[in-house]
Amino acid sequence: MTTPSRGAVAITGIGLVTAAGADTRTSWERVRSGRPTAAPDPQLAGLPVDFSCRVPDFDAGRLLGPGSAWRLDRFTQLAIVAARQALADAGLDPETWDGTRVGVVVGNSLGGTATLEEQHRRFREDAPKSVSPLMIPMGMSNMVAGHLAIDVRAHGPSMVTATACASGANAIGVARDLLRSGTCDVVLAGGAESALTPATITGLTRMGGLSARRDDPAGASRPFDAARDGFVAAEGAGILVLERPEDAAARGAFVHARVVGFGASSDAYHATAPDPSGAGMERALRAALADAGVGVGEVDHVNAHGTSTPLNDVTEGRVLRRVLGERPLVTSTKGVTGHALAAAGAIEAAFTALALRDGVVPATANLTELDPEIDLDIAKETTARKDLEVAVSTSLGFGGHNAALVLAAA
Amino acid sequence: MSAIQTQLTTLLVTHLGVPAERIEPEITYQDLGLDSLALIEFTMIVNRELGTEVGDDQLLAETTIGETVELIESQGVRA
Repeated sequence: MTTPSRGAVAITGIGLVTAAGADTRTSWERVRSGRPTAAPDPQLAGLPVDFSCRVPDFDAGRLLGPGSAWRLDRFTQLAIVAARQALADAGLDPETWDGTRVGVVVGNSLGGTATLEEQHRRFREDAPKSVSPLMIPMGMSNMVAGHLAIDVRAHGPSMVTATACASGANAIGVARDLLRSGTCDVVLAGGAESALTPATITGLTRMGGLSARRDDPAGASRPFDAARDGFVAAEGAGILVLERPEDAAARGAFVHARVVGFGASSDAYHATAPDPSGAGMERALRAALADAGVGVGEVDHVNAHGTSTPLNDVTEGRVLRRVLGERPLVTSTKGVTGHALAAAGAIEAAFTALALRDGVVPATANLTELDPEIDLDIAKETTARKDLEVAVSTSLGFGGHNAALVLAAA
Repeated sequence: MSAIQTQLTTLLVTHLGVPAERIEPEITYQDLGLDSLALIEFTMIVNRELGTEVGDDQLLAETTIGETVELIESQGVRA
């Protein structure tokens, strides 16, 4: 093993509930197929942007039990299902573990928007007495961590990281530190978001963030493409089981990949626009590489934030080229999945781990003509790379939050 | 089974996911796994669907289904 592993943590379980599929295997297959998931959304009918990337075939009542599902907003439902998948994948059983040594860190940004909007409607149209007593516990952002802790009997620290679209990556960074410090022996880390409501989509539309390609939803999320015009909003959850490598080895656990470095920074520039110099993102990326002990010339693959907005992709493209050169094969899986906001960083960290495990870089869907301002080697097709050793996943959020993860093959 | 109990059973099953086979006159809400927040939710649903005026503090953990039927019938609701 050539990659340093000081402070690395092992990814021993992966759970994915995304627009590409309601489980890890289906999601990964769909992402590798390069087939976009964006489609007309009946719940957004009549709006200027009436398409999204929804999780298909998600029956919360069947998966969580009818007595539990109604008490949870969908973002929490997605997270619990992803966490159960991740634990099963890791071969860990909450019935037998010491829960005081288990932590939960989940990225979320918008909370239970569907719940809050429905209760607000009742408050305005009906009467205060028609507002559900569960409005607050279903709507609060932190409840995804609280419910996950209940579900898996995790009695260690549990919390939400809220750094917009960097939340999932930040969650993995915090989880890594909980393991490094010895606070926890196992951490469930990831992100969850489900905010595809008419009001939220309208807010994003009013910001000018979303693609307006109504005549071609499947072609709307096209990271790094010259004809991109915005992102496609998605929902989803990604949860990783993280352990110290020696603990994973001691119990004979399969390791998908390792998290070897993390870096974060703030633009401190503008509430929503990225600093066009990319200085903040560059600091996060260089910090992550330094943390990993990885040289800038050693990165084989990047799963970029690549939202498909004009500004993000060109700014990020410049930073990746400036720091990493032309070596890495870059992709943005958002071409398939859309942009799952606070969940994106965790979902993409999972895809990065799977890329390292399987030696394959998934295609950037809809990339037909590379933006001439972007000088990167971007995977137009899914590409086998058996020698993948080191990969980076980048995440940038409204608020100027930047995060980068460095992963290495197990 | 009274008509009101049949309606309560339907509401508990469809809105709160309670297994139908567990619902009988002597069982309490606590035994059905409903906490205080779920009981306020259920009170809202009952008032909306049956046109009753059950107060937020009238269905308690130890209240039985049979007592709920009596309460509703005492309000003149006969389904």
